[in-house]
Amino acid sequence: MTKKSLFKIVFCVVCLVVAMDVGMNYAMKWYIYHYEIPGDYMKIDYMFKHINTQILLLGASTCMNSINPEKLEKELGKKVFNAGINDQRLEFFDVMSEAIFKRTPPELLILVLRQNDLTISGKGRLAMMNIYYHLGNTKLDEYLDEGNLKKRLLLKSALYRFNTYWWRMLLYHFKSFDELAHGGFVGKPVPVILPSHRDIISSGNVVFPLNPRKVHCLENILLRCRKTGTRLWIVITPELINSIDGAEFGGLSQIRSFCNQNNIPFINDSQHPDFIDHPEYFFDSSHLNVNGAELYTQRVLKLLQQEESGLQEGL
Amino acid sequence: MLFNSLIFLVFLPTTVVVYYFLPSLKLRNLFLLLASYYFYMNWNPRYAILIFAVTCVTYTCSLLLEKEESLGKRKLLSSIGVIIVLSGLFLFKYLDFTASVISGVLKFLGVAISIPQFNLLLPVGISFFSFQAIGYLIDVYRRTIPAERSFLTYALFMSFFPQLVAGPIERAKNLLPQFKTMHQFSPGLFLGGIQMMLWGYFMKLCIAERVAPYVDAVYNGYLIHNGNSLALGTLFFTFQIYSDFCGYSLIACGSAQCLGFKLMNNFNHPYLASSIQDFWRKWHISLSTWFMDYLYIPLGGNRCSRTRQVFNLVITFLVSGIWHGANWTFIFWGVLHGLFTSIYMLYRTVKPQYSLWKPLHTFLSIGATYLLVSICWVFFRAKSITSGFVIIYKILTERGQLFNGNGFPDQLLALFCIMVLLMVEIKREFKPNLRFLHSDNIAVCSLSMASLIAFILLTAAFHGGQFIYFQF
Repeated sequence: MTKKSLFKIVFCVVCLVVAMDVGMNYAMKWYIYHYEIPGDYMKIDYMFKHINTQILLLGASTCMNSINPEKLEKELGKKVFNAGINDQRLEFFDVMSEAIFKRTPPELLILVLRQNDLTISGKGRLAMMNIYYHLGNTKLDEYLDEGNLKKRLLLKSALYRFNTYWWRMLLYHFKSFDELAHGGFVGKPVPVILPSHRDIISSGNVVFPLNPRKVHCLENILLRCRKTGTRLWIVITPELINSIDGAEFGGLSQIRSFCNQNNIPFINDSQHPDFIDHPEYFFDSSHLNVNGAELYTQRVLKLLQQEESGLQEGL
Repeated sequence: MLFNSLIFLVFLPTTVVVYYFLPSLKLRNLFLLLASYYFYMNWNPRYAILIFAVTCVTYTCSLLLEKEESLGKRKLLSSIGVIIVLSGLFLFKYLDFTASVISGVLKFLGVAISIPQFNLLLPVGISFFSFQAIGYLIDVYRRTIPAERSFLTYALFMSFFPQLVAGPIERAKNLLPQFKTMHQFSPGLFLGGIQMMLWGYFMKLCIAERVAPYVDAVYNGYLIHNGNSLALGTLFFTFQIYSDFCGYSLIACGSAQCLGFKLMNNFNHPYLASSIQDFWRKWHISLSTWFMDYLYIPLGGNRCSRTRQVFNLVITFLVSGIWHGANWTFIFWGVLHGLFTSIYMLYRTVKPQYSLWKPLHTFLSIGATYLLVSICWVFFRAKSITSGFVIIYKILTERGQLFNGNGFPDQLLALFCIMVLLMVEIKREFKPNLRFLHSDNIAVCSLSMASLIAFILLTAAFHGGQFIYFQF
């Protein structure tokens, strides 16, 4: 082989990869624009394109598995949507609230957080949003660009952005799950072996440091709510925990003080007496099962009705 | 520095460009030596001292060995060199294990003495460079090769970065002469190297990294998973370890080839082996030939009685198991391979002569070999020998719904990539003339390479995990 042949091959390979990348970019943009994206994306896609709800439940799996919007809709006569998606964090909530508030801001945003949401460093499954990179979501682009150099370079490639998602899209054409059924609620089954309590012990004077980026995300959401007149609640769903010496998870106090400072109703049900001693309501120590979710939906309904009638003491 | 890290993708091209621009052989070797130490020190700079010490000891021993004429003194000198190298390996790799075994025995005998654990951090690739050094010393002792006089060349032989941390374990007679040649840039060799690396990245990123979370989940929680999930986990592990290690070897050989060096081939489609003996001719070839040359044959090889042959085989595989790690599971894995190989060897002598349709016979042989190898891998991956048996029992008896892992699409994608790998390997094994990536036609070659790059970007798991064999 001569150097000329090598140069020809390298040149052809580079051109072909670039062509494939550009082609992939156009093909996928066209697909996203014209089709409902399946799987977990169905919900995200719905929120980007169609959502028009009065009460929005935003959170991770603890949100998705705990509150059934169909029941709330029936009792309150308002449109409710559960936008909970597995393993998402405040960056995702910030991104989604930006997109939703731009179109149709809800009357009430119930943000279901986990206890360490203000102190954790990870971004959860934000990488699944790669496919929306550079599609006009400023917050998303900002958060994805925070990755390391390797990630940032890879993000320039459409082939990388659609890494494995083309496969999921292909598969879901053969077998599809309706992620929008029950207003986005997914009930967890009652497990064969009931889950056990997780112990938490007092951490003494240890203060869990706030993660400034997480606080920034929450402030963004709060600002959006204030601008649009949307009411904001922050909720922690019940957990199966065994608190020793009245201890609570690190990070919870940070959420509480943020809510107090900003006058946000904070509903901390992490150790709610109706759930704490009832493993039969849980799928595992962090997630309610269908029965637990039904009971918890009743609790949320009661709070909403109290708020409607002006009785805010319950919050 | 990991082969799948961004820093390596900057390091390698820089090294290649600077290497070919340097005008003299001495400068080139010095540059490669510095680059290799920089590569190794990216993990832990302190361990460079260890590899330097091993280099100095074996270099000195080899020079003394060459001067010495008396066989007794030569034996003594080579033994001292080998013991010093092995003691480093023992200190970092086997000390805690030995201490726990002694503690266990003493406890069994009713003597309550607690031996402390040192928990020394295992230097990356210690088994590989130690064995390379021992091989060199034995070769000099046997006078198969002359001792290398240039310290620079020998130090480079010991630390050449592509094969430093996970092999192939090179032989001095193959690699040392290559450091004495002024390599001219060869476009064919360079392209071959790039193609090798691409295939290596496919194996590592699209298969090994993709199946790793599933394997970890089912093997770490084997008690709560059913037989179906464990069977799938085992299937995945067989391809994880192959793709991880073969992927590494291909990237290593490819990197070396870009610099003009040819390293030995470490794998030759091992899962298409038609017998357990054939498997060891195709799996980790540099290690199995090392054991063949420096242990099995000196023990008597197969030029002795059947009983002695079996003993030699079991001992060789036992040592191979110990080489892999300080754990009973590796030892059991080695013994199992030794037993299976011995049984096959005995079976071959009494094998009935029958004529089965050849393709069917090949297919059945390959299937049976894969099954035996998979059984051994269960113990290799399991936390203990007991858990290995529990896993096999569950695979055979327990049925139920498959564990979902990161979602079934992930598992199906992994299976799809494994199918791609197998199809390519079958083509290479049975139709070697049908070439795509290595085609002489520029259009076919370019299209194959571009498609492979696109496929890697579309399917790879970019978790940036370590290579499994680094721990050995």
